[in-house]
Amino acid sequence: MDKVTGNKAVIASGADFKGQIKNAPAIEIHGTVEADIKAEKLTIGDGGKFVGAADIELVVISGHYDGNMDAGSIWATATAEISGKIQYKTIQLDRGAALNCRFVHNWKQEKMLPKKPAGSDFKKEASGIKRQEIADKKMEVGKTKKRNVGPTKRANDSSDDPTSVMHSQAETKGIDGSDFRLFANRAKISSYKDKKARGRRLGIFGFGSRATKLPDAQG
Amino acid sequence: MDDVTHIINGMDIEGVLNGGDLPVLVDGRFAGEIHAEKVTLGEHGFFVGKLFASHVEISGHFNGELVCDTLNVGATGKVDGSVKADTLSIDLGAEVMGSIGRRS
Repeated sequence: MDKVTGNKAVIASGADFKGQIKNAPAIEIHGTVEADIKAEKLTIGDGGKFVGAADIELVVISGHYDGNMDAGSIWATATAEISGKIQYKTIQLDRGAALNCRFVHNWKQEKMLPKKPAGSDFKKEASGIKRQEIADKKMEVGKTKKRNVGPTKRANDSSDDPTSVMHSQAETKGIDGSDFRLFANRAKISSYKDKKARGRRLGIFGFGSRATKLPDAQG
Repeated sequence: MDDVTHIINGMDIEGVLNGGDLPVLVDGRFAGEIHAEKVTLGEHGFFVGKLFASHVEISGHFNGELVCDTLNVGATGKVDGSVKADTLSIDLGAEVMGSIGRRS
């Protein structure tokens, strides 16, 4: 025991700690810990129990966790029991892991930030861009949509990306866009005429204002 | 490696630690309270607070209240505060300040 054992902090089994832990690069918990931890690596051993907030790059959970975790990658082994709220970028679950918590995939913070300036460039040069690239962008959007898990994040992404693609498409295909607009206008006019005609037709029956108003209100 | 509670060098801990039957090794900074069977305060260790244990070995800085059966203050150890120990040994070079007594 007198040997210095690596650069990994350990809370041994049977030990019980309550308080704050700071500046620990790596922690292994085999006992019970109630604390707020910010570290690079956290291991909750089989039989270990950890309650509290955690901000950690790599987490291996074989024991019990409860709290609010913000993690880079998580590996929950077969004996893991997790509750609380987990924000993660990548996760691995072994068969048998018991999860009773809310998972939020927060890959976006890292990936979207460098993407945004690229998107503005994309718009500027939109006229000179080939369709292949647009197709690529579309593929990307498709991928990101699939990968999305968190409901809040999904709303942000879908409002962000596909619209930008649409814009760029409209800009590149100038003629097609105007055609579409013409078509849309025509459709509007025709529907308007239809409505009027219908109203007139209904008016023929002449059952007072009620009969003419009802279908109008519906459509 | 897993049978020791180890507070590593550079780590900063505040709170109450109950070490159970397994030994506790403090190489970092600890503020608070430790209850354990055996506690070793390493050369870089820094402890402030209360320490209750059967066997205690101090090679770092200790500041506060210490109650134990056996205390060994190493050559690099510095103790400041009140010490209550049944068996006590202090190595040459150690600095001990404060009150020293027996556990009644």
